[in-house]
Amino acid sequence: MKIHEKFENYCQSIRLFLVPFAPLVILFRCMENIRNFCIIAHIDHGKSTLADRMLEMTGMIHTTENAQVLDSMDLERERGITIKAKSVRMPFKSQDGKDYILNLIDTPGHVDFNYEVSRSLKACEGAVLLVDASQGVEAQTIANAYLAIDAGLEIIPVINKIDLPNAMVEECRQQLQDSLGIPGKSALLVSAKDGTGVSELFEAIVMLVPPPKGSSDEPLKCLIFDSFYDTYRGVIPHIRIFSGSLKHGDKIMIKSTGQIHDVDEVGYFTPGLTPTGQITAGEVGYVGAIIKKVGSIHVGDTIISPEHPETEGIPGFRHTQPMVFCGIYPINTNDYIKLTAALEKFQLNDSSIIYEKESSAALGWGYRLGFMGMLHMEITLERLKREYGQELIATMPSVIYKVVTTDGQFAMIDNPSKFPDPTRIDHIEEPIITLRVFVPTEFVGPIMALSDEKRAKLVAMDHPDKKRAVLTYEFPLAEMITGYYDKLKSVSRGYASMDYDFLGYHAGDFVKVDILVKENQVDALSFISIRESSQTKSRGLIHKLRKLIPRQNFEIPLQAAIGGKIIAREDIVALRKDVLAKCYGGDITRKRKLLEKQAEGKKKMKMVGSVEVPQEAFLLLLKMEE
Amino acid sequence: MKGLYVHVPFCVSKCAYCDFYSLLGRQDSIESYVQSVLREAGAYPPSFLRRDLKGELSRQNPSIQPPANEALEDFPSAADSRQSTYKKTSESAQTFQTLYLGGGTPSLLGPQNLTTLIHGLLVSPLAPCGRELERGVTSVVESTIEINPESAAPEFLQTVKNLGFNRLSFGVQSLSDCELKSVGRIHTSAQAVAAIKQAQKLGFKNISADLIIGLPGQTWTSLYASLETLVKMGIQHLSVYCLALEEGTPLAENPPADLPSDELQAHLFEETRAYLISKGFVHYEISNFALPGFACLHNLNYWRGGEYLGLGPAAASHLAGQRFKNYPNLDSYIADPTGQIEYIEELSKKEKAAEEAMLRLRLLKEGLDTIALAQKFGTDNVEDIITRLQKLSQEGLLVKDGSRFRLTPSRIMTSNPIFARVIAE
Repeated sequence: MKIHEKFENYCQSIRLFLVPFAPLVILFRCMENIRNFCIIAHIDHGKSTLADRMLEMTGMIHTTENAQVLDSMDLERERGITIKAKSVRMPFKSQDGKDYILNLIDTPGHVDFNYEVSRSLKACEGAVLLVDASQGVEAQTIANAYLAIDAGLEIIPVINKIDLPNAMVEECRQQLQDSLGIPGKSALLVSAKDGTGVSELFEAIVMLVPPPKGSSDEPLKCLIFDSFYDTYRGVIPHIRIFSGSLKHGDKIMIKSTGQIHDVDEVGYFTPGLTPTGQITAGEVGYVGAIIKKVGSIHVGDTIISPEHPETEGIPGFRHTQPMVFCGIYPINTNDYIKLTAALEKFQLNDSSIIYEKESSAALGWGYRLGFMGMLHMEITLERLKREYGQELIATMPSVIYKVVTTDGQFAMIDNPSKFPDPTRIDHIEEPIITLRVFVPTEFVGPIMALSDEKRAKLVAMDHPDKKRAVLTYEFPLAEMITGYYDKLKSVSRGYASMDYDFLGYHAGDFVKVDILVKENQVDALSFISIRESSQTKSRGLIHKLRKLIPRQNFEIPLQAAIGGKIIAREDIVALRKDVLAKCYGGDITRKRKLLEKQAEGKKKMKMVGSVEVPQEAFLLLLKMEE
Repeated sequence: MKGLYVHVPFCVSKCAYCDFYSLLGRQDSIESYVQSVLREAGAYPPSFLRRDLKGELSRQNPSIQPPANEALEDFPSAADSRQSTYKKTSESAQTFQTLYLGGGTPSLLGPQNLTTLIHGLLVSPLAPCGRELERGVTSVVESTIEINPESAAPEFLQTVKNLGFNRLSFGVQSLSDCELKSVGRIHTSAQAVAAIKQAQKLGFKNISADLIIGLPGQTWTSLYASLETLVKMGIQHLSVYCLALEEGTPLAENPPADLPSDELQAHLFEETRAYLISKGFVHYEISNFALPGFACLHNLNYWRGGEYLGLGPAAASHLAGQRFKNYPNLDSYIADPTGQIEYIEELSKKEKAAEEAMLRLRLLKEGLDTIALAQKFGTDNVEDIITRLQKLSQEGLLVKDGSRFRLTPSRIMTSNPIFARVIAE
């Protein structure tokens, strides 16, 4: 593979040539004591634990106990993943007697955030590639390693969790060699948990990661690799300065928009915000410029000096495009204003979320939200509920379909209820991703069967080593977001891992299925399906709905329809008996509590026409596939 | 306080559907149980209520107490004597006007223990003033004891009569031996018929029978046979309950295949209602039918949000606006009958008003008078309830008649969702 050769050459040149002379290499300016690096790993391979250990050993924090400092959101810790990239500046005294500044730039660890990862990598010169000794190389190990190699980073392979009884160090070395062409022998052995090997890792970072290049005398050029919102200081971009310098009172310009701001504060992350007089080329830090509008700062954008508007932006910047959409609605329509406020506040800390107003005949006013992926969506909905105390109905997730109409026009539609009349549609195209599934060979069969069900097209099957296979698919994104990942994990007993890229739009025979509850169309339940499986899906959905909607005082027909044609139907018969009889020697409390429980249940119902539909009816459809 | 309930937690065998507190094979503890009940009665009012209750009693607000004759207003033909006694005795809030021995199986007490219990209660602080032991409970307006057909020995019934009980409630449940067996009842239909006849012979003029709708294998034919026999025997009151599968009961764990569906149960109930009404019974409460003048006063007091004291393990009480309940534990009850309160429920006035509204709506004839409710709880506390009631009547679930609301008869079998909406929107 080309990329392997490239990497091989790169390693060789660094190791054989540069390393022995490293102390002798004299770089210009005073950047030779700075090392900017990140840690990349598959999810759960111990990235945050390693970061904690590094902070502890450099005295940035005193005790970590169980806390993972860089994962500050509860939910991240709960799910063991880092959503938001953060960074920290650590002083380090090397065995060579010199003082160094190590800037650790944390990267998001999930497949939904590839773009953010690539931007974080851009801010570094080196990457610690972390592999869990008990798990071995997995899909995101490889995906992230390629991103780092493409970004021209020095890679330091590290095998983590060597303290585990089931650590397979030799296998990991071999896998690094076989699947990435990284010399496995050079991998450092570390236990981030107990600190073994971390000092050696620091030395390796100092020795192997090249110091940043660039000059403080040249015009300002900074990469924004993250940002957060502070109530008093506005949006605070996290930056890596490539050239020039920044201090209080300077003016800065956002390259993509041309907006100019006055610098109010600059500083480092230690890991809190520590103001400093000036930050210069090669450094990592933050800039406060009272930027009030959240949408004005995008990850990957470049900050330049308004005196040099001709300065070129750092290549690779793009506005992130959400891939997955769903509608959210308050249970109680009166809570719409609360929901609006919650979303506004929410977006301040996750600008990758987009939202716009939407209204549903069944659910009233709500919002359509766009997410980077399925996991991003699940986490966001969870956080919205948790942090803002909002009960929500989330509709079935949808991808963006390209709908080509008979007049030759096309529209990108992210909401099934907005599809034009079937007679006006020439054809529909759906987003396809390239999906790579990493799996032990014994699970290849079940994974192939599962993927076949999901209309996946196998384009390649590789065996990076004897025990493992990589299946590469052209895969419909719509199938991905309806429970593929969960199923992948379950059929492989948790061993499979995956990674994906957007490939393009492919045409298919799609239909829009509408769901009618007692003759009322529930727009929030409409879905797009390939025609062939639309009836099976509809039957499954109607059947589930029948079980979810409680019997009421009247009969409730449930129907699925394509256009005007009913393709599935079940009826919920009228409630005939729900009565409390015996009075239990005057135990009224018990009676009242039963009724209160019923009343409580009613509050969680959404009225669709005259029918009370429980929230779960909408939620369960999120994972409709069965 | 109007009602006194005594829970008798002993049974010979446990019916498959029953989740009441009752114990098998503990008859040897009956004597100590009776002593404990009398100790509990002697300690009235319960210590936590003593201050409250005295305050409450001294400022006894007449508007809080429903009119004494309310119980009888639907039954113009009620015996005058009952009415006058009721009026007279209702003056003292500290004594009871109705007595109800429920269970379990109160008829397991036997003549001796029952006599000890009743005599003890009559000399307790609870007893209506000036009672003489030899008159028994004759001057308590209504005194009921639940009788199981298999333990209705003639001498026991005689004791009941001698003690002055004026109402018997027979646990008949069905007159089909098949159905009785299917839920673990240990008596036959013949025993039930014989017991009722015996009671009638002894001169009991207010007899009630419990029937269950929804027994395994039940059909309208079999239910009709049970109803017809009982009505022809001339009983005055019928409680007709729908079988409920209560969590943890053998019936719920292992439901038989031939349990009637909800649809069939609803149908059986409608038929029962039509039949009993045609025979002159008044459907005065969701599960209760009575000939005019024979509604159960003790239970009416429950549905009207009235006050009562429950004695015995697992017994529930409602005093000074608070509901509380004893622990369901016979042994700890015997050891310390006055220290058994499991919980005391503190409800706001609004919650109390909603509770009473829900309870009163169970009274199909009498219904809920919103003016009286507002008088009792304050206009502010009933506004929301009235709004909800009005909405329900617009939807046809309640019938509005001036300031009074009643449950729409066709909605009886599906009244829970309606009551849930009365309690809270």
